[in-house]
Amino acid sequence: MRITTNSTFTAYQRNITDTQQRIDRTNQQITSQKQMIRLSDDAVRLGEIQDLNSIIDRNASYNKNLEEAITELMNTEEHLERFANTADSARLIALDAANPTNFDKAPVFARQLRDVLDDLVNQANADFNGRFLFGGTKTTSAAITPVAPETTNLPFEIITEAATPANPSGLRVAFKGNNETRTINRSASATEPVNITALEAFGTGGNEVFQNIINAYNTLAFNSDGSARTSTDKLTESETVLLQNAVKGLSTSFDSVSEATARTGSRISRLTAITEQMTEESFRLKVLRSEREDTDIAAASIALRKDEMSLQYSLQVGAKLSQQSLLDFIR
Amino acid sequence: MAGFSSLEIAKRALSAQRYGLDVTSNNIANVNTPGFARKQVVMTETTPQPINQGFLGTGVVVDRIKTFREEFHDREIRNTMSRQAAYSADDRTLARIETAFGEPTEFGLDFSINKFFSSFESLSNEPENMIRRQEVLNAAGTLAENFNNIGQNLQNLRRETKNTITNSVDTVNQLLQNVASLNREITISQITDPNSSSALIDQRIQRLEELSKLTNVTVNFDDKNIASISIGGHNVVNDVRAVTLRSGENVDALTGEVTAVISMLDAQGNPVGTIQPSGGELSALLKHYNVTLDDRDSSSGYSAFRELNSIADTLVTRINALSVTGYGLDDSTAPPPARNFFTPAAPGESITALTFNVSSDISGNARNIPMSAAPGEPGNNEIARRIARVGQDDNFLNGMNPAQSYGKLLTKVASIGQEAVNGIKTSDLVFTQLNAQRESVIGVNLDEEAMNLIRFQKGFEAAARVVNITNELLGTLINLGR
Repeated sequence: MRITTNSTFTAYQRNITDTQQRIDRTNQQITSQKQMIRLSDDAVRLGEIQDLNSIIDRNASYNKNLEEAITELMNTEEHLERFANTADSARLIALDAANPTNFDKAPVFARQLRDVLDDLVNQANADFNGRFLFGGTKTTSAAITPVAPETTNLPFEIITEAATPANPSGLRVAFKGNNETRTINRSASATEPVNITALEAFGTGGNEVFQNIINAYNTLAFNSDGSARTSTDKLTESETVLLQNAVKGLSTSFDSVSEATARTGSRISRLTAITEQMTEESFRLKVLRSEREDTDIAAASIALRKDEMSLQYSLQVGAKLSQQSLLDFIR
Repeated sequence: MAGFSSLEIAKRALSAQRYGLDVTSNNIANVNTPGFARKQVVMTETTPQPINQGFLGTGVVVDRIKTFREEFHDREIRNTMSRQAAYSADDRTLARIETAFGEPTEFGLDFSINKFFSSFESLSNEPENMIRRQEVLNAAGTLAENFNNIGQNLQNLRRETKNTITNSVDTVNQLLQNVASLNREITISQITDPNSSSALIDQRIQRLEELSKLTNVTVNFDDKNIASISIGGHNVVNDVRAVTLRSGENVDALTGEVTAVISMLDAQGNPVGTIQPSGGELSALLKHYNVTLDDRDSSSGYSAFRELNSIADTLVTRINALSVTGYGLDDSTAPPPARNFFTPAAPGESITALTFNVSSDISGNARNIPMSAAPGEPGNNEIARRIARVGQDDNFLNGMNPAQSYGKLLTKVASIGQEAVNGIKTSDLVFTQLNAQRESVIGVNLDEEAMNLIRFQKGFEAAARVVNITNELLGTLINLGR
């Protein structure tokens, strides 16, 4: 093929431009640490990266949810354990009081039970990050509207009403929350409950445990005729039966709280396992994304060096190419 | 007699060699002139004179100036230039679209969509938490801003594309006029001196190539070497007359879709038809203006703007459908206050990337975000969870979830862009090969021309020497007998 002056220079110029473009691209890949500079660099790979990003983000979101749920559940577990211990102390007090040798201490036991009741109600009103733990979906005080004789915006409140033969103290614990389960998404299709309802923890109506204590208190603090019991007033046979029933009720309540605590513990274990599994999956996905997205610095550096050398030699050759022609020899 | 004959022969030789030197000089002078085809002097021996012993040569004459040009190469190069220019315009436009989307970065719409749904997941954990509610508003605001920015960028790009189309049509008109004028000049020059038209033909080839970059053209030459040009089957240059083109817009009365058209005008400036370039920069620009960047595109082509709007509209519809059923933190009684999360579309309209916005129902007060499915239950996260689930809904749009829908849009833009880049590479390669082939025929080689210089110089010197010798001979003859 006939070679012309222009074709020599055009080919030379083209080679130089190509090499410079490659150098520029490799430079960008190294500085940005991303293989893809433009979307159109690789449409298929782009699709894969988008999908991986989406899954990684979604997993991160679920993981965050689960971690927060675990924290809340751990807090719930702690409160339930404390509640169970306190409820058990009420059972022990009632058990002691049922012992005929302790008949003269009934008023003292009654006072102790009253104090325990206060403690338990306080514990049932426990909150985490400003949210009531056992109020169901009524998690804030703003959501709780007291209805007379209730006075507080808390989920549990001790109310003193008019004395009746069945309830000489007139005490009652009002539950103003609900027993709705709060759930979070832990995957695209699965949900996870993150709260223990009052029903699960404290029995029927969300306040059975308190009623059992009040029953024991009423038996110890009042005689059958409604008068206040003194240290000389022995428990009658029927009162002893009532007290024993209250002890049984407290045992059941203790079991109920313990069961809720155990359920919380196992939920924490399961969620922790899911979180770990999800973290592991995210790690693998990030590796996959990195393989598709990130620049192989070693390979890019070698390519850059190669192109730089190529450019350098091209420039040298080009300079020689254009140095002389036959015209230089015409005298 | 013999002496005078030699002088005449030498004179012709001097003239022919000087002609050769002139042509060579012109070749050297135009070594870098685009479109220039090298010329070569074709010399022939003049008619011999009969003498008793046979025929006696009478010297040399320049028969013609040969131009090295082959129509095959010119035509193929024009076609390749059209393809190359269309791919380049595709690449430029798609690079701008890619920039408009701001991908692949960690701050693009993809990131915003994921962040938006994540914020609902996070809020579902603590639906009464004001900081998380504010985060949802912020994520929604960022999402809206991203949609608006992309929409605005695409709209601006479409407007710029229209301007480029108008400018390109103006340039096409200028080139068509140039070719018509050159046709006229070539006709005139061929009457006076056929050799003088080669420079004009070179110029016309150059104009035709410039024209090919803007639109693919079919060029036919008649037996007088007059070019007629057609674009998309319509004759736009005939002999010495060129049609004027004008870019304009058509508005579809039914859909309101605005499309760009190129009309041919008659002598009075009235449109007499439209042309559809199938190659060159204009074809690509029209395609992007009328399809890729057309938010109301009704063709079967791929419109990135329409697809983006579709995602925005579906997102607003789906989220609002849930949010109107929910209750805010302070809503304690049924029925729900029917608060929209995003500003809904006007009746009969759809939401676009440009009109995507957080609703004023909630934007001023995060407590109003309806996340609860029941009144007076701030801890109820039902709506938050269901909105978060929309992010994973594989039936969100065309059997894909929102991130996948947007991913598909990006992948499609990327694959069109990739196609353009590959097209540029292929057409570049073909162009390089064709150009090299043509260059090997029409190009100037300075070494070759230097040799021609020497050749004609030597010829000239020899002819001059003949004059000298003949002069001496004649002098000798004249002085005989003195």
